[in-house]
Amino acid sequence: MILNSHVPAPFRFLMTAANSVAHGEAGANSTGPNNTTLFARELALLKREQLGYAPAEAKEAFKSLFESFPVATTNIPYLHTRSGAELIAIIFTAQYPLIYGGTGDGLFSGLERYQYLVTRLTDAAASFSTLPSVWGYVARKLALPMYPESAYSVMAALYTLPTALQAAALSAVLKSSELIVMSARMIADGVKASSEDYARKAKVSPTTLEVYSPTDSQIAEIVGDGDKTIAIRLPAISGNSLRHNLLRAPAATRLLSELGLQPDREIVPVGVERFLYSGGNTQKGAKSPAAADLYEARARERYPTIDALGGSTDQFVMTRSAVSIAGWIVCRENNWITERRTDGNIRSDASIFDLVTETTRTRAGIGGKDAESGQMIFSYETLAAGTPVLVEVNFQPFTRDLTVGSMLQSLRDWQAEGGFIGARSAQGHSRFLAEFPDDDRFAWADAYLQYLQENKIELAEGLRAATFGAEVKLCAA
Amino acid sequence: MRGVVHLSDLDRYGERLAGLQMRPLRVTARTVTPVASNDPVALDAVLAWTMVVEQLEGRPFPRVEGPVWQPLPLALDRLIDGLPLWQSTDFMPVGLARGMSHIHRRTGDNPYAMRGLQETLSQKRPRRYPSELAGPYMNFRVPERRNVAESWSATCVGNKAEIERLLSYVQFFGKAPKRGCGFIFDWEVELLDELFSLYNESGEPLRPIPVEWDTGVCVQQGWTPPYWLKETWRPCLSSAAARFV
Repeated sequence: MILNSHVPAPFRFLMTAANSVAHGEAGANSTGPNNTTLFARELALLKREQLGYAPAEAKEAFKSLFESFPVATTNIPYLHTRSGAELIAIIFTAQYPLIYGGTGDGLFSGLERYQYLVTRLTDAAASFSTLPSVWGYVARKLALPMYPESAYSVMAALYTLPTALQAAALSAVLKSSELIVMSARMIADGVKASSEDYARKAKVSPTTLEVYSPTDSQIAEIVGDGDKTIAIRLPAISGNSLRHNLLRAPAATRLLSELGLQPDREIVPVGVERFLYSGGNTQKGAKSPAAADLYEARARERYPTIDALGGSTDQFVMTRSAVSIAGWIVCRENNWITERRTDGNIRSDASIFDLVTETTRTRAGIGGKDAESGQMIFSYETLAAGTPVLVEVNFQPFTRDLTVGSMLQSLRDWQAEGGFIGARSAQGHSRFLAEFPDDDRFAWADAYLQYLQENKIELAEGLRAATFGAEVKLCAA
Repeated sequence: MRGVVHLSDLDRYGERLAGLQMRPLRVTARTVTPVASNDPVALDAVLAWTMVVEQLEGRPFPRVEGPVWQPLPLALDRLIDGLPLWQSTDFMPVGLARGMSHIHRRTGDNPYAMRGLQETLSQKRPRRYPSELAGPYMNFRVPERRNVAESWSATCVGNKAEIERLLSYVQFFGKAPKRGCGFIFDWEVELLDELFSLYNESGEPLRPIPVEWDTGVCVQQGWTPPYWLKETWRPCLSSAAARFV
């Protein structure tokens, strides 16, 4: 994409994880029942070849899966109603009740075993992209023993499916895990009933088994023509986190320290602190003043970081932000982005799903008064140390040089302060080393610092009085 | 509604458009990050934003009494209340998948807050944290839509070269670009080898279209840039794109 000359060129740089990165998903359902916090994820659309796609091979493997796993004739009409991805997911999941049948095994036992299976399978499908890793995860979480020799052929057929098909099956699990587990249970019951002995004891009609032939539409849907895409939630560093850690927080600290307004010298009002560090918020019953545009223009003109990041005063929300930021973990799945954004210079052969793994810790002495102190085991996913991330900072058209400079200074300050993004830095996680390219615009960062010094008295007064250079107080408290 | 206001900066741009050749076009956006948007993205809105930014050279939009005439390199379908209904559609996704993400704000999580409290402990009124459970400084976690699609396409009757030039300003698609959403991979403007229509083959509108009489299926909404300006809203047949986002 060729940008107009009035749009400042994006500032791109590579940062590499100096140690493993903990960056938990902010979603309410991110922590499963097993105390595992997943790494943050973003939805992405991938072409199948990005996941190792080969149409002819995929078609053959898809068909041979059914040859290794005959199903009850009575279930065939139902299987016709499912998508190709769901078919694989159902056959995969059906192995649990078939192998660990009866009253179950490990934690896959008792009345709640299918509920356990749903939750563990969903967590696993969100965390991994291949069936063997999902099986390993679920087996660990449910304390299941190794599968028996009788399951070798079907497991081999599942595990040798092209990774694209395995990923598609796991996407189907994520979309409708209850349906997959319910269907898997039904298919497993049908297979079990092919044993006359089982049918008699269970008082069900005996079934006969036959090899399922997938419909043309099921084959076309899963194998496709190579141009189709799959939606997958990929581990990612959130733009929200990048913006706060790389730009907003360092910008606030730099501004306050240059103006002599650090807590050990002089303290700014809480409203100003929250505005600078968190973007502020409007008060209850806020009503935009008639001169809001003038106040905003004045604040933007005086404070380049406010011009860059915007925010919300007590009474009105500023109109826009001049800076945007995004990051891509350098991995096989993101090659099409990182290569294009860097003239082919940045790519990786490693899959993102091999770069994210689970870290487990223990914490002793929990429990309150009268409660037994014990050991809590908890896990969280981390991104491997050494993983590079491509970061891109973009500016709106006609952004002022000082505004751009203030953001480049923030990046320098972020790196100088340790380069942390994400969580658990106190436990040795989430530190990055950035490689900033040579860019003439760093002179604007120096100019920004000079601007702060030259206008120190006036700028400090604007923060002290919470006016940001306007005639009225914009942030109370 | 107040009368339509003319701004000299924008009108000068309008004069430049006179005589430009208008042809049916397809405009396609591809993004490298998910799109966050609760509403359809309209092609004329994107072009209007760009035109205003370019003509005002980044200056704030002047405070005016009434909606402003915004000339665009698009063919006019008709005037309603003196404002243009452009021959352009909303962007429709191709191969759409939808999801949800969350943004999390913790307002007291900064190096200043506790230090400020410690430094003022000996004072009569120490600098306490405001409530993080309610009020303007409360912490919050907000779900935010995520749409990913192979591409987003709109059609229009317009001038190809001028639309391409205006789109060279646009780096983002949809909402929340500051948080990394909707970063543009590329724009493509191509000639359309079919007649332009404001409706799809099923007869559904491809953009909000104002109607004289609400038959019970209309929605009061924006239909011309800027879509958020409530005083220009009218009962409209909603865009088919609204079903997707």
